[in-house]
Amino acid sequence: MREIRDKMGAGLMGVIGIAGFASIPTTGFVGFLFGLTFGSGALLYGSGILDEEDKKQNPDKSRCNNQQNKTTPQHLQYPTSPETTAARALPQDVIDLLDRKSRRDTYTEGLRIGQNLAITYLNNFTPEEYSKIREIEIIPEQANKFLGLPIGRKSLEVRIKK
Amino acid sequence: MNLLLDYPLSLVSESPETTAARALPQDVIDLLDRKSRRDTYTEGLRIGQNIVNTYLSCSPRESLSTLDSVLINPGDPDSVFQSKRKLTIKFIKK
Repeated sequence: MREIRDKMGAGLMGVIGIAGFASIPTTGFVGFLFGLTFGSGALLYGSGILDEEDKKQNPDKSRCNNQQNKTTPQHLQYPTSPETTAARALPQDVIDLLDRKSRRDTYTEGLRIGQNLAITYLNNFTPEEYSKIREIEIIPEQANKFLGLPIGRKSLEVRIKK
Repeated sequence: MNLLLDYPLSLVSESPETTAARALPQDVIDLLDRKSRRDTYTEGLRIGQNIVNTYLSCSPRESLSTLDSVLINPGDPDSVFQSKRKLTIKFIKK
């Protein structure tokens, strides 16, 4: 809307400027001044130079025109200052604790799965085979890292030793 | 809608001092660590118990009469030795 208004203003100034220049034979120097003033005004408005100067002098106004609908409302913005984000990060010892707990939970879940397997095996054994069982092992191995390289097995193993 | 917008507002209003003060003291971390380790141990024992129960309920009477003891070792998930990271159930005969 503002652009249309600017262009209409530039057009009107241009017409007045041309009329001023055209009336030089009758009005003389006054017509020349009219033509020069309105003609240059029309050129400046039409090219948008004045609009850019206006934006430089009033940056807030410029931001409102261009990004009014793009910015997130203030109350929804997540704080991004270094001080705030650094304080929000978990301490290393808490991270280590959560890591150990997660590893233990994985181990326990492996044992639970191995338990189901072992029980299924045992349910299918004959009475003679039961008397031979000496040991049952459930190995919920998971890959561990040493110097950044994964070591160890990833497979779950159930051993029924006789 | 206003209720949904209230939550981020409270996050933004947190000062760095408030969040830093929320870090857990070392003794609390140690306590939580010990609790987690014991929970893992207990869960390992429960799992071993289920397997032993199955064994006991399915084995013939003659086999049970020769059984002296049952050992359940839930293993240690924190151990650096592979041999210790396993649940072991030993049936020791007379």
